[in-house]
Amino acid sequence: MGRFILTRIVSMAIVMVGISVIVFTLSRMSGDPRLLYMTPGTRFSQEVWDARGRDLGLDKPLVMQYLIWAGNAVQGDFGDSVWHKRNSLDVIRERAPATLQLSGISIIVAIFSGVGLGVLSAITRGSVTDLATRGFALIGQAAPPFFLALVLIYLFAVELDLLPTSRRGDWTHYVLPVTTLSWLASASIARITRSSLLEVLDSEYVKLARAKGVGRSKVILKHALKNALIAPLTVSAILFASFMTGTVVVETVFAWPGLGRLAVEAALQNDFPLVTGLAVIFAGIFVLSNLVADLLYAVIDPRIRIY
Amino acid sequence: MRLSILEFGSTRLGSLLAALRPLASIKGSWRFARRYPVLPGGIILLLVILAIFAGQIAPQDPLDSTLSDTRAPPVWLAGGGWDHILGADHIGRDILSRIIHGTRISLMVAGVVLTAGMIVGVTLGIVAGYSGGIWDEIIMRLVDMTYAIPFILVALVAAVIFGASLQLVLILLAVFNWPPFARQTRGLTLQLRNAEYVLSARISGASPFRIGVRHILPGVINIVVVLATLQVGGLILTESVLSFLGVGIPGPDPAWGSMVADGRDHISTAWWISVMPGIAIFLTVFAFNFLGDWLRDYFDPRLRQL
Repeated sequence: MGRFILTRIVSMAIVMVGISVIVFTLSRMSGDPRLLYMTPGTRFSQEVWDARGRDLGLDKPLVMQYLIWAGNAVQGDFGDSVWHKRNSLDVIRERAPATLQLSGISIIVAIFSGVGLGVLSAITRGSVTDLATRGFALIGQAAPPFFLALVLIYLFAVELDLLPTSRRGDWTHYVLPVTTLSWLASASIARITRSSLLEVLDSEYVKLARAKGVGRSKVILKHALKNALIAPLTVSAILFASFMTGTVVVETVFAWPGLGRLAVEAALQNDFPLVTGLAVIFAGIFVLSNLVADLLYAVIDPRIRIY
Repeated sequence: MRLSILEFGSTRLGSLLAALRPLASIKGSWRFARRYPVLPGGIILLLVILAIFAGQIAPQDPLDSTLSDTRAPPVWLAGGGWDHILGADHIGRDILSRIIHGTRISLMVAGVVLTAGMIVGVTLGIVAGYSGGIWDEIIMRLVDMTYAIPFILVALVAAVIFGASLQLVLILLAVFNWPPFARQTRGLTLQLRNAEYVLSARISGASPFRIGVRHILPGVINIVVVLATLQVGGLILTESVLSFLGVGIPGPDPAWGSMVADGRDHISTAWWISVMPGIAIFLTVFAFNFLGDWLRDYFDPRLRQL
C-alpha cells in the first residue's frame, strides 16, 4: 500500500510540473510581462524599464526564469494581479470560500440524490419509476449547464417568482446554482449506481442470501449496497474535480462571487498573474481529487494495489 | 452476426436490407424501433441534412437583422407570425435560420476535432502499447497530464492571447481530445500484441509499422468508432460552453452556445431567444449519446466502462 501511494504521489508531482511548464509558456507567449503593469499611453524611461526587467528576472535565461517563477509559485506567490493591484493569491483566497461552499454542497446533494435515484431505479427495474429516473439522467448528461441554469431561472424566478437568481445570500440563493451544478453529477452517479447494483444483485452471494430467506429490502440494504457503492463513491471524487469547470459556467450565469467567475473576469481583463495562479490551483484541486479517487478505490478494493 | 461499420461489402448490404424487412408490418416496425436507435438515428440524419443544405433549407439569412422584428415571438404565441417560426432574437434575426446554420458549425467542429484526435490518439496508443518501455511511459504520462489540465482555464487564457476564433476552438478541443483514444487503444494493443496472429506476423519478419497498421489497427478500430460516437456529445457541449462564455466561435456566426448567451439578458421578456438554441444543443447531444450507448452495447456489452 505504501508503495502504491508513493507512485501515485510521484506521478501527481510530475503532472503538476508539466502543467506549470505549460502555464508558464502560455503566460510568456502573451508578451513582455512588464507591459502588463503599464498604463496604456505612458512610457517608462529606459532605466526604469531595465530595472523592472531585472526585478522580474527577465535578463536571465528562460530556464532560470521558469525556475524563479516556479519557486515563487510553490510559495504561493504568482505575482500581483494586474486588475486588483495586489497579490493574486490574496484575491484567490478571498473568492475561494464561495466556490468551495457551492461545490461542496453540490457534491453532497449529488451523491445523495444520485445514489438514491440509482437504487430506486435498479430495484424497480423496467417500471415507470425506472424510466423516469433514467430520463432524468439522460437530461443531465445532454443538457448544457448554462441552458439548464437559464431554464431554471425562467421557471422559478421569472414565471413563479419564487427564488432569487443571482449573488450569495440566504439559503434561497443556493437552490438554483446547486441544482444546476449537481444535476450532471447526480445523473452520472445515478447511472453508475443503477448498473453496479444490478450487477451485484445478480451475484451468487446475494442469491444465496435470498435463498436462505433474507428479506428483499434487507438483502439490498445490508448485503448488496455495500459492494454496489464502490463505483459511485470513487466516481464522485472525479466528478468533484469536474466541478472546477462547472463552476465557471454556473458562477457566470448566477453572478456567484467565486473562483469560476474570477477566472472568466481575469481572462477577459488580460490579468495573467491571476489566471496563471488560478490555473495552477485548479489543476492542483483536480489532481488531488483524482488522487483521492485512486486511494479510495485502493482502500475499498485491494486488487487495485498491485499496480 | 456482427456488422462491422467499415466493411460494407455486398453481403453486408444484403444483411442490412434483411434487417429492414420487419418494417413492412406495424408489429414488425415496433419491434424494429425497440431494437434499433430509430429516434436518435433520425435526429442525426436530420442534422446532417440540415448542415449540408443549410443555405437552401433556412428560410432566411442567418445574419440578416430586421429591427422591426426584434424579439418577435414564435408562431404559436400571441403576436408571432410565420416569418419567424421559432421567433426572432434581440436584434431581429430569425432564430430558426440561425439554428439551421448553427448545425453546420456544431457538426463541423465535432467532425474535425474527432478526426484529428482519433488519428493522433490511435497512433500514439498503438505505439505506446506495442513498443512499451520508455515510449509507453512518456505517452501515458502525457495522457495523464492532459487529463489533469483544467481545460476551461487554458481555453480562457488562449482566447485572450490569440483572440477567439474558430481555428482556436478546433485546435484547443483537438489538443484535449486525443487522450481517451490513446488510453483505450493502448489497452487494446496490450491485449493484442501477444495474440497468436500478431506473434506469427512478427516471426515472419513484419516490421513494427506493418504490424501496427495491418494487424493491430483492424482489431481496435471498432472500439475507436464507438468511443468517437460517445465523444461527439461532449465535444458539442464543450464548444457550446466556450461560445456561451464568449471565448468560442466569435459572433455574428450562429454558434448555438453564443445564441443562448444572446438571450441571457432577455430571459424575462423573450425566453425563446435562449431556449430554442438550447433545445437544439440538447437534442443533438442526446441523440449522439444515445447512439453511442447503443453502438457500445451492440459491439460489446462488456465495454460499459467506456
